Amino acid sequence: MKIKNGFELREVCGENVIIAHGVDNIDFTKVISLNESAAFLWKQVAGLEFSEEDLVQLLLGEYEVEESQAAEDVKALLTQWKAEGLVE
Amino acid sequence: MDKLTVENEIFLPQVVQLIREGHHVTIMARGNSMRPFIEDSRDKLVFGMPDQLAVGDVILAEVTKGHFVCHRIERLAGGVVTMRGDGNVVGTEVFPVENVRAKLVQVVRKGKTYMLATSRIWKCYSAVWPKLFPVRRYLLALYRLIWMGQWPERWKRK
Repeated sequence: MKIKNGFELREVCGENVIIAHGVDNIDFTKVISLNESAAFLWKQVAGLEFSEEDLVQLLLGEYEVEESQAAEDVKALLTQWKAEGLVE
Repeated sequence: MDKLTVENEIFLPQVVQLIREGHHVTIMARGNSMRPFIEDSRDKLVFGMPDQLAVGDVILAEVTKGHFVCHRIERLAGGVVTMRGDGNVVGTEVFPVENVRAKLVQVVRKGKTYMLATSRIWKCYSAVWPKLFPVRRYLLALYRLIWMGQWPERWKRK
């Protein structure tokens, strides 16, 4: 899977937010805020083809977390990203 | 959906930066000073570059450093802007034209999009509403009573 075109991670006022680009319109009434680890994953895989397992490995490489916990968190995150239409 | 609220003083400079980069930026309307057309927390405002300003335009201005206000231009002369909120009966803001940061280009009102450059409803409203200034106080009172159902506490039945 990969992150769809038209979404950009920006730091606005200290928050990591995903901004949807229309042709030229940035809509702050519909932003998705990412926590630090989700933003880390986003930055690592933006523009790339990736799998669920890739994200788990990225988390394990960056954070001190049990593999089972990382897998669970990645699953939850991807469910949310898919629901919001951020990945394809 | 969770709501992320950010101080104007921190948020709006970033909005202005994005507009300078050539984007249109949509934000939620806050406050009652642009009633009756624009309602707090219901309507969305789309801003673009502030080119070709004219009396009647609605703009976002940095009135004093860090203090942003979105109101309508009432007077524009000698590089000085006077603006007033549609929903205000007293008070104007006066500042140099350089402090204008963005121009309102679209309003999403009750979910319906008005392109201000072409909307006949907006143009008609913009032409008529400022002329009604002498009776604005009463029109706004009626608006609050009838459309918004905001009866004064003392009038409410026990």
